[in-house]
Amino acid sequence: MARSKKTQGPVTRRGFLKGAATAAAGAAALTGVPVTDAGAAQSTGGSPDSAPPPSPAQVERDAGNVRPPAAARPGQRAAVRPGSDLMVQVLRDLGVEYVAGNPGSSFEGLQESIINYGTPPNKMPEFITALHEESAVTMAHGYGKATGKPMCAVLHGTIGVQHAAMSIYQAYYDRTPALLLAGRDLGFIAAHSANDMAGMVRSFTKWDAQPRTLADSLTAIQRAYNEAITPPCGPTLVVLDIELQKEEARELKVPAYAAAKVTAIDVGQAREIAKGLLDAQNPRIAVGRLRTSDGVKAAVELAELVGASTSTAATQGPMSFPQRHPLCGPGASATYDYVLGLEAPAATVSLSGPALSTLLNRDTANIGFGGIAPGVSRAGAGGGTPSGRTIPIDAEASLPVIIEETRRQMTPERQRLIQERAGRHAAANTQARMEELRRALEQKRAGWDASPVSTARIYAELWPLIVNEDWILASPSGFSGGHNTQLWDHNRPYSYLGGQGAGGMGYGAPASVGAALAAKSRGRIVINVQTDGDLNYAPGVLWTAVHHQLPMLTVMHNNRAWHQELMFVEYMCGVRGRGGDRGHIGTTLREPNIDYRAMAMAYGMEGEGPISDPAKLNAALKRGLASVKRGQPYLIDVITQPR
Amino acid sequence: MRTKTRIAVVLVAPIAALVFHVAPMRAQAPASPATGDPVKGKKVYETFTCYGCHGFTGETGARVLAASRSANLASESAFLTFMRARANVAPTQPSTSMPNYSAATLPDAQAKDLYAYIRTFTSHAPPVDQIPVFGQILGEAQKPYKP
Repeated sequence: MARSKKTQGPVTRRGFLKGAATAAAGAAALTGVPVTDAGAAQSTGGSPDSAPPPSPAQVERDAGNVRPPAAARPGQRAAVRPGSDLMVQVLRDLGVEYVAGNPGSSFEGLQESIINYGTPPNKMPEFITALHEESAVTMAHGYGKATGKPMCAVLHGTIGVQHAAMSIYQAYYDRTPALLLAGRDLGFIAAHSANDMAGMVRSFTKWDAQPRTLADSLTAIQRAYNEAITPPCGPTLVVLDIELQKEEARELKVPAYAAAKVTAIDVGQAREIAKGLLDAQNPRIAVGRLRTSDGVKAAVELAELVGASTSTAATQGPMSFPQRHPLCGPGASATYDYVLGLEAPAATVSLSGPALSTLLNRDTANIGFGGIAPGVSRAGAGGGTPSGRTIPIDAEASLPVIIEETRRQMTPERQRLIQERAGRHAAANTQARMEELRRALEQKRAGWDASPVSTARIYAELWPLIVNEDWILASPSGFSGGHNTQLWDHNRPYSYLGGQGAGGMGYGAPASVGAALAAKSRGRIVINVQTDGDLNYAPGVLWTAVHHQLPMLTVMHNNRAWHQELMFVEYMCGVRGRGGDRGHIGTTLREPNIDYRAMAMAYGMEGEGPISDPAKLNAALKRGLASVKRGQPYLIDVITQPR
Repeated sequence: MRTKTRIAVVLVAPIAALVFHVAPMRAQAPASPATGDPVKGKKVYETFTCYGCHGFTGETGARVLAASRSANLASESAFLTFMRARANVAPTQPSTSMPNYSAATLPDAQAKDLYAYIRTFTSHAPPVDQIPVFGQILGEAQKPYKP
């Protein structure tokens, strides 16, 4: 039921008002059943469609003047073993490290359990205070990409789910696991509840449930976790009624967890692929984005086993082949007679030409979901037209079977040839790498001393400072020139977390905070080269980084514009032959300029800038990294060239 | 919430293709005189947001102007022809290609001022071997791969 703000009265989103009148109206709104309580109906004083105003008692409670309802007996808790304790135990058993959320009454039971249940409380999971649900889910998105594991985000009712919707969409598009829990309180504010809470995001949520009992809630959380990590991965959502959170669990036990089973290719397929790799004179393995670091490890093992040159997606996102592994590159010859794709974009899984494929009667096979686009919006083939066979089965789960079959078919003679080939590949790839780097440096020197600072200089100055650290570049670099792809080495599964998923803005900072949550417990640091337009969607996430003392260095790529859009509008002016001097309208962030150091300081984050003199950049980066290594996030506002 | 999936990287190729289409690159360095006023041209450069693709000093961005040997910059007349020749050379979907600037948008006098300003651009970039950070990057790249 739609209601205008005027008819809702002073009931606020984060309200603590709760009483019979609103409960009755809320229930009526949901069920369509007329309010039968005459007193409640009369107290509204308005039309039957309008929500009743709060009672004096509710107002008193909202003002903090009234204590919550007392326990059943003095000294006794209202619930000895609340249902939400069991929900938290399920999360703990699943290894969920963090739950990010923006507080809301519909999950207050769950929140209380997170912060108070267990020994120690508020650990595994720890409650992470988010200032916006979009930030909370994007934190989970960033964490999921950095670890391959789901992080949890809690959402408050209909409004929290809608705030989170764009981030859920991005995680879905990015095939990133995330475990979302939405509170529902049918008896409180009608506008915050719905019969089908997940309906709003179902088309881009992998799986959802709205259990009716506490026991079902526990199994639903377990299944949601499994669905999230089962390929193709994605966000899942469980709606948890407040009554189930507060219910006395009595003797109910946490159900035994059955780990997700991921299907692998069968032995026959593995045998055929192993034969293809071993029979080929120059096999190729195209590696896309695998699920976890275990998959990356297995891909390396297979490539080394068969001496295949490999391509990698490590410069586009996480969980791919190490960029500087000796086998990574075009290899000694770019004419391949067998290509195996592992979650690879379809376009990368091809022989050097169809004629060769026909002549040699060779094959390509792409295992996984890399060439298949998620099924929402107008997405096409997801990276090009598939060639050869696409086997829509998880590559990571299949790799051990292929490796085993390859070992079975290996002979000493093949092993000798493979070693020789691997040596040739390594030499050729090293040479190619150095040539590529020299060409890149020749390009990156352009504008080296220019003011404002060139984006290439930011990445170039950063690299020697972090090369010996265990780092994560969590922000997308496409809008900042993508200089890391040429200057840096992306050798770890989490080196670069890639793009937003669906190109939505407001991603960089919260994804970096999510990555920093993962980094904090693993001794890593996070680099966030932050575009200015992107940060302004929900900058409150900077406060979260400070509050939780996250190791995150933010370097502003502050070009004072949504620069790509500026170029688009300018182009359109040209196409229409008018107003080329007005393209800045609606695309720039000037008059006034935004002071990002002041913004950071307002959220309690140390920082400096604006820096427009490139000579001052290096020292600032060193100060920033020193702070981050102490566990204190830091922001450097750098005024930059547009791209 | 807006989405912006049109990543500029995808569009680099069309930029190059369009420029090649109009005139071959790597012609002679500009030799003909610039008749416009570079001071006024600087204002045009800023107002028409040329810096968006060419950098605030002409040294960065998708197409560097400083020390460019593009045939489109070889002479004032070539530059004007180029600026006017961009209409309808590409579909109207969003693009980071060089826009068209008709005479109605950018009169000849202003275009000449702009050309005069562009001709003042010089590259101040030091050679690669004189940038210490680049030396460090090359040094790191030569180290053996460590898993």
